[in-house]
Amino acid sequence: MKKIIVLAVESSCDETSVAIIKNGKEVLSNIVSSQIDIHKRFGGVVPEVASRHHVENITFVLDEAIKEANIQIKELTCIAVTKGPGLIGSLLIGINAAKAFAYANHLPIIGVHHIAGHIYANHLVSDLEFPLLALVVSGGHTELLYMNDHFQFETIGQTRDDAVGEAYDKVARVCHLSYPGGPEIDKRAKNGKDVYQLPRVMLDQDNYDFSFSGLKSSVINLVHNTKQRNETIHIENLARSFQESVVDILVGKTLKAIKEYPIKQLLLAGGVAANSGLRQRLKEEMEAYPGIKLIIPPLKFCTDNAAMIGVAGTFAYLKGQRDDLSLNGKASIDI
Amino acid sequence: MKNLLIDTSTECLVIILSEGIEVVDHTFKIVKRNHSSQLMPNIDQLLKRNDVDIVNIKQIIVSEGPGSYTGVRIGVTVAKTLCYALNIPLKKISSLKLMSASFMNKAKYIVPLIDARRGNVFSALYEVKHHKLKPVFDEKLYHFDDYVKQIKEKVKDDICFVGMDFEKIDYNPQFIMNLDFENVSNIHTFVPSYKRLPEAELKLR
Repeated sequence: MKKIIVLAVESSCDETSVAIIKNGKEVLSNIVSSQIDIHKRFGGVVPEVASRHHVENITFVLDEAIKEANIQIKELTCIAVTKGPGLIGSLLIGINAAKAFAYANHLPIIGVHHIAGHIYANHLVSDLEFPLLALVVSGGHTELLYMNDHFQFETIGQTRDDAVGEAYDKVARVCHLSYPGGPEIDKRAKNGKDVYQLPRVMLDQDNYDFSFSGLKSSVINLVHNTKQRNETIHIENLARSFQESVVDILVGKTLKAIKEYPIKQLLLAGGVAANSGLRQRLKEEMEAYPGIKLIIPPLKFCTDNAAMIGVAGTFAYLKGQRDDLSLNGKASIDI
Repeated sequence: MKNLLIDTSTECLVIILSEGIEVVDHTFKIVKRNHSSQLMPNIDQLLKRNDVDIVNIKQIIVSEGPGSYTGVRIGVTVAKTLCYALNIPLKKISSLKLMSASFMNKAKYIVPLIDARRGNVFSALYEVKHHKLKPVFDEKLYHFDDYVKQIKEKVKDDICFVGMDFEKIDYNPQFIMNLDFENVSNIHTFVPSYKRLPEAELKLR
């Protein structure tokens, strides 16, 4: 393979990130400027605030990524950037910076789907082998995808309402835990017991879709009713009960898909892939399937980052994808 | 020395190519909310038809706002990134002055208006003195009804209101290039002049 060096930009939510990836495998740099502390006081990401910070951060992050990679600009093969889905105001900063940088350096520009990025983060751990299934779980997505080759995505199931990470954030909020809710609930779940009987929504249905809004409402009602009876909620037990329900649903649907699709690999991707309960259960359940390799990216490649966009961008480049200067961002877009 | 001026703060996309301050060519185009898909292709077309490569641009001037938050961000992001990539200096100009420049020979007082929703406008009151725009009322967010009263008390006649209907604005690129541009000392920290906090910030206070 000819040497391919991709500079990638990701700004779909509240992280401004630029990475430089060699041959789709080697991370020369991956700078992530997170806005978590800024959005904490609002209890969630405020799109206008996020967009303003992206403008403030973008060239700093770009500069740092280039310096850390220790490469010459003329060594770059192309520029890859997240085109969507995501917060439109945020996406547009990364896209316009990427286009301007590509134009100034006479380099091709390639728009990458955010979910493709999450999936390709796994390639940094182990080469993708097809066919495979990917469970993508984050603050904005809950999807099961089947791939029989590079860039051949088939969405076989997805959430019909809230994304799983969104449900975590909302449950954390009613429990007065800080934003982002995932790590907070995960931490408390470790010391709790599954005693509150929460529903496993859609688990028995004959499809691969998910629904988390009913589960979220059950938690809100439970907290409310307990308060009405002047009783106190046991936060650790509630966290454990909620997490058990989420993991039952995610793992249950994934195992169902494994029975129907003959695959070589199962990939976990997205910010919620950092959840220890989910990681552990998947590892345990997959021991029954020695022919299928379970791949879980390290934490830094689970949350939003440009390295994953660089890996996906490398394969898009090899496939011959080239976008032009009219490349635009889209809040929602099919993979 | 070739300069490129970019304004994406309103629904009209403004790009000017100049040699020093002498205008070489320009693009004025109503793009509404499509600056993201339109800005870079239009820069490319303007440069190509004048046989100029982007690497030969020696300075960029960008409109810093106020105006459409998303619009201004696109222009500022592109300007910052081009200056960073080409290692060239950046200058800035207020979008309100840029809108007003073309009307400097039409009246003594000029009021540019950019819709800021819910009965508000981004505006200023300028007096034209020796072919320069001197602010009588500062560039900021005004409640339209109160603002009109203030202007009526201050200025009786020889006044020109600019804006709202951008299709009717007859831009004069040379008058725009004659404006006094301000140096941006640090490209990295440069951000748009929004003139209003995000709603969520206001609610927290």
